[in-house]
Amino acid sequence: MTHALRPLKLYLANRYYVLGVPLFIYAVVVVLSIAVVAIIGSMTGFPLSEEIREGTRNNAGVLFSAPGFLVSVGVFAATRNFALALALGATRRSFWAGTTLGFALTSLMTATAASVGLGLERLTGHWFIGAHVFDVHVFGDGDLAVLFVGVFVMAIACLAAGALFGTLFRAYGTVRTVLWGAAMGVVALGLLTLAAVNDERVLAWQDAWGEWLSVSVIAAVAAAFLAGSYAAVRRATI
Amino acid sequence: MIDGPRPIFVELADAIADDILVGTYPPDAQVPSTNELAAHHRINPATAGKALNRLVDEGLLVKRRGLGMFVADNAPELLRKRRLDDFEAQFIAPLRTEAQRLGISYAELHALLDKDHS
Amino acid sequence: MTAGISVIGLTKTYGDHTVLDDLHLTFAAGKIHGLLGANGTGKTTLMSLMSRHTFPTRGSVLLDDREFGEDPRQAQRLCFVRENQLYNDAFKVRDVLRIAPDFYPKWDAATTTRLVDRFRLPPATVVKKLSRGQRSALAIVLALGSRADFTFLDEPYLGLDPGARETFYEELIRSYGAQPRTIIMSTHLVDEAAPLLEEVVVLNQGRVALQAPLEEAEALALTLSGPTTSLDRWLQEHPDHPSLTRRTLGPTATVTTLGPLSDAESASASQAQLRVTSTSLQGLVAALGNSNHEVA
Repeated sequence: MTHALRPLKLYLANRYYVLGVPLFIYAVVVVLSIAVVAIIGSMTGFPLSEEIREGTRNNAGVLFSAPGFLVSVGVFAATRNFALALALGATRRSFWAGTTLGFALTSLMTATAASVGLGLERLTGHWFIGAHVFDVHVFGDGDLAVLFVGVFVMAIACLAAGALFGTLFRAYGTVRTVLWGAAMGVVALGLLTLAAVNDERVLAWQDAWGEWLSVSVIAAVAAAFLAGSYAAVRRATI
Repeated sequence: MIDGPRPIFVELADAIADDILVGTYPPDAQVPSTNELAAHHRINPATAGKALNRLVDEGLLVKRRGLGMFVADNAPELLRKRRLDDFEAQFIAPLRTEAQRLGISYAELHALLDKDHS
Repeated sequence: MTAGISVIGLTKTYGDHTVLDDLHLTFAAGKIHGLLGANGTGKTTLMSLMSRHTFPTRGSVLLDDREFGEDPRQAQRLCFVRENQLYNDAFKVRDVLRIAPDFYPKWDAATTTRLVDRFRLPPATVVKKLSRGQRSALAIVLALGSRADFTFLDEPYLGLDPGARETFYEELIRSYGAQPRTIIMSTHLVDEAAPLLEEVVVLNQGRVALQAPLEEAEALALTLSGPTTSLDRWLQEHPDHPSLTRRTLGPTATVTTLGPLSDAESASASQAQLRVTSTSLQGLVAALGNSNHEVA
């Protein structure tokens, strides 16, 4: 455990970057969402019509804004930090454990930011003008648990994917990394096809589990990426 | 037989011996430690240690446990005696050889030495 | 019990190219070892394998007689900041210096502070904007600060001016004197670095051409020069002294060979009108690199 704490400190060395940026991203999403709704509202008048209100509930900014940044954090952790951790006498296993702990902290921060955002959104009557940012369909329409766990597993999946592909890229170069990515895409497509063929069963699960079904799927993806990044890091060289 | 540099530890031991001979390190004075010598000359401490041990073996330095290395009381006399023994072989013999090569007679050589002295 | 770091049958190939070929070596504990040889002879690869940054094709690495594996207690005894070390893009010098002490229980803060000052390393500068020499200086600070039991230095002087190199040599000896440990340093500035070394390993084309204490290695390096015909006759009569490199000038030739010569051999050489000169360690390394000879 103490051995994993060293790579964790390495990961956290730039605290603003790995803990602060998710907050910043969500702040930007809030500002942009309010701006968009304000522009629409200024044309259609306030309060917003129920139709437009419903439209803002489809806002997926929280889902799509953070992954790019999170993937890049994963990539840099798996390449630059890996090289320095090994130089300073860490093992691959402790590097992976420490960095994964760091990923968990970043994800926790991201999920907390979203949850606090949801609280503020409710407190302010959806940012005073009826703009939905966190209280949206994809995250269970204001279900705090779905939002928190959903954002958390999404963040972990992105960070782990970055770590996995960053490691593969360093080990195998562009071509084989793209092939690996393509292979994983094929597997994902296969699973989706399987789901489409069995759509009745999937719909039944959807009815039973609600948003927790997609949260579970993302959690499974995150777990797969984490396992993949472990396997890749154990074989990675400098 | 082979002309070339002597090992570093021999050079260093001779340099310290020179310092003892001229009184830079008088009898009973402490000489620098292995690590101090090594850092100063940028040489491996093992090499510096060899130089000091060579001087101990020659009776010029004495070890005092836990304190360090000190100049032996009779070190200057020992050195002077040894250098006197070596003087002819080291300096006079080459002087004769070179004088012969250049065709300098002994009388001229004497004159040169006297001139230098005055 | 062999204290130190050993490699047993270490082989590393990349495709068809064999970088290290069945290497057997021990770097004894507590000494400063020079790892010498031409570019491309596998010095960096050997260090990468010994520090487990890379995995061997065959063979193994032992730390104090125990196979070096995925054991964090073994790994934390090593420090190998590479010549082209990668750092996080966002890291400033001070970030690196803040994190590194966590990795080493014996971290030497006093030396680190003094070195940063002597090398004039700018703490607020982003590492990737450092000059070549400053990057080398940072690697030196980390390596000496770590006081790791096994410290690797791969051409640590790149980009350092002569004054900074002198500083490095002095601080290396100070740090080692205060805490003797196994230091393995590769260098091409052989004559400059030789006084720092206790042991010398010369690699040539992925094999060990020579391993010896410094003074023995220095005594090995000889040049013989004289009339070509008598030189050749002498060399033929003395197969123990192979001609490693050879240059001719009119009717004379100069060869680099391996000493030392016995009294009888010296006498026969001077009878043959040959001049025997000791050459520098650098000359020996260059000669071994040009000859493929291995000193048994």
